[in-house]
Amino acid sequence: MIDLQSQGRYRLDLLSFPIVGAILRWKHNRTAAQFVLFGLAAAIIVDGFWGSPLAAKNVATVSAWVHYRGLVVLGLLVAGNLFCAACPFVLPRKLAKWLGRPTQRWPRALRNKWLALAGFVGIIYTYELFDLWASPWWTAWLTLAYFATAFVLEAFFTRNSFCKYVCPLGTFNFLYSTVSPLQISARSQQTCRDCKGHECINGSPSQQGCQLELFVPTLKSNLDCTFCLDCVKACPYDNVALVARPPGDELFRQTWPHRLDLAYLSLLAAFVGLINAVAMTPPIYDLERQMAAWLGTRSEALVLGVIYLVAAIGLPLGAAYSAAWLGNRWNQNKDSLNRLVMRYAYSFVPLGLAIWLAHYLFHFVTGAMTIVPAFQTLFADTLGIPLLGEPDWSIALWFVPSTGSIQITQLVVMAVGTLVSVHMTMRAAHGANPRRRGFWLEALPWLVLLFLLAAAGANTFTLPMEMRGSAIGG
Amino acid sequence: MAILVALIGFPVASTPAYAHGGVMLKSGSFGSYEWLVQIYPYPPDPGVGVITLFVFDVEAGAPVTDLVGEVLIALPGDPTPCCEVGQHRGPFALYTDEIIYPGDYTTYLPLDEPGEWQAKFVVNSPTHWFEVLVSIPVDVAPPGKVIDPQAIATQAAIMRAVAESIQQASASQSPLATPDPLQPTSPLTMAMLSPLATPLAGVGGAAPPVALSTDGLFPSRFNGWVWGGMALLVVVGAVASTLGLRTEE
Repeated sequence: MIDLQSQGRYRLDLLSFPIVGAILRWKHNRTAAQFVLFGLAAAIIVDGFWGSPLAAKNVATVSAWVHYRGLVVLGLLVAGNLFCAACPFVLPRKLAKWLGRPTQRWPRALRNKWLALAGFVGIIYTYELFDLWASPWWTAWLTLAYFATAFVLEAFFTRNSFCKYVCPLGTFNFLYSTVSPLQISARSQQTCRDCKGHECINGSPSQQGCQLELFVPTLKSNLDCTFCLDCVKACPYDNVALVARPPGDELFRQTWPHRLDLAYLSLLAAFVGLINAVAMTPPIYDLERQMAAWLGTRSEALVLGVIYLVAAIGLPLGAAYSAAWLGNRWNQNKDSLNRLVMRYAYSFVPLGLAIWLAHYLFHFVTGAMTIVPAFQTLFADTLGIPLLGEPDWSIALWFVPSTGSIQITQLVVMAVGTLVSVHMTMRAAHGANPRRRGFWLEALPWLVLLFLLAAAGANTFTLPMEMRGSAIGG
Repeated sequence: MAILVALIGFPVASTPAYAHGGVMLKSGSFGSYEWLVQIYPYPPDPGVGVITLFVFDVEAGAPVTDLVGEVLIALPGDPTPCCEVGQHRGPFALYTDEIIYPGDYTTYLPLDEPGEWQAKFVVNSPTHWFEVLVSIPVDVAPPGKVIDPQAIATQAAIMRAVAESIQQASASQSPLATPDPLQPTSPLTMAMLSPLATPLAGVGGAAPPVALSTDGLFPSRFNGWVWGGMALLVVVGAVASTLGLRTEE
């Protein structure tokens, strides 16, 4: 059991702030936030099905592929898992639970991240295959499908199984919230020891406990935490804190040495981030053409599938196991390769977040104001109620930074992510070989892999990037 | 760290970037067609501007792929109405890659001075004909940037030639067309598109396209500054970490 605050490391508790604390403690704060995003999701569906087919003018494509993605990664960087906290997809949860009266727990064999990881890779592949950024119609369908999946699973299984084991978006947020500067923690270890009811996880008659089965006094990580703050509201002793910590702090203090699913997730998410960025640059199209010629096919699903299978799964795993094997050999270790992969895979989290951030930042900063005329168009043209006035597309051009300044920012983000990843790698090597001066030999192949990923990512951001899907980005 | 960022950032900041699509300058409709005009980079400096017209048929629910068009441009301050052949620059043909960018019609414009340019798209299809007038604001060049109209014109011309060959390859080998690797199509595409690529046309003149293709695919996509900078960063980071960890011991 840890008690971060009593250890004196984390002293800042947002819940103790006068106004912010009151808002965060408000019983209905999550529902209120969910209703806001539910309204946005409704706008996505309405405009996606009945609005302009031009992605650049449609709320569905602009808000989903420019704003949602950009704000999610920014939120993770500056605060925490804000999207899951306000997730609209689980707003109908109570209705689903009431209809389904679930009694079954999620199958034991699936209580891990494998399904979510497959869904995550699958959704990025689908995004590319169906050009979701350019299709309001498909974007609306995807949103509907997400609602339907969440609803059905919530109706069949107890607790928040969908969030914890299935949701690809949530899994992305869980993974990268390990870098975030906010975390749930117990205020006093002793209070938790004396507590009999454990309401933070079991709930009380008036407030449910953590539906993701996280027990506050043992929390060491943001992983699986949706920031719903149910634990805060359920604790009868007011012993739960939302503390500020150094970003990424948990990654330096602990890992998940027996979770191969999390290790794969950390690794693949970084490489998928690179593929997702590369897929918007011209080289990928040349590669697709070459692949089509080699395979003698005209099926984009097949060509893209092969590229994803190799670049997003085969290549990173092959490289990781090669690095593990080389590290073992050079350091004269006899650790299992899986153990080494689980030791070093988490080092790819900061770099992975940097890649996603640099990519989505580009779209967000070049398209941030597009949302205004897009909503004007939704009300004026799609709904026929010009509540926000007639669409003024000149607004979309406001505050667009120069290409050079965006690229410098992207490279700085990449540089910072790389440095943190390198430091994590060295710490992992040192932690596993504390008495060996040559501990860095084990880390060396991983450093090479980090370098290749970082350089490929940075190089990608200096290439021209496709900007379809919004008036000024996407 | 600051030096590293400066080393990496300088070549990026000092060169323009080109991409497909870009900032939307204008949108509208014509019959069942909805269209929009985008430019990249935005805001443009004097140089080559990538301008794209996207056309979507609302009734058919699909991008329009059978258009043929061209663009004429008028310099900033030109008092004559935009734009007529012979009086203004152009026409510059619009090119499309109907496989990868269906509905997009792109060309490369030599916008070699700051100010408010005017552009006129003239678009034809078997059943439609329409014109689109747009203004293109071009910023003043950043300090130190040399504007060479001849080099910009040559660069734009080469990029249009590349776009034309992509269009031909795409049309002949859909849906995943493969341009002949011996042709300069792909290498030139990236050589010209890469924001960090060495300018292909020297001051006051231009190398012929055939000579440019000998640069090959790799050098134009491989950015030595970035790879070198990242390598240095990893080495410095690892050494600093090692020293720090040994100090902790």
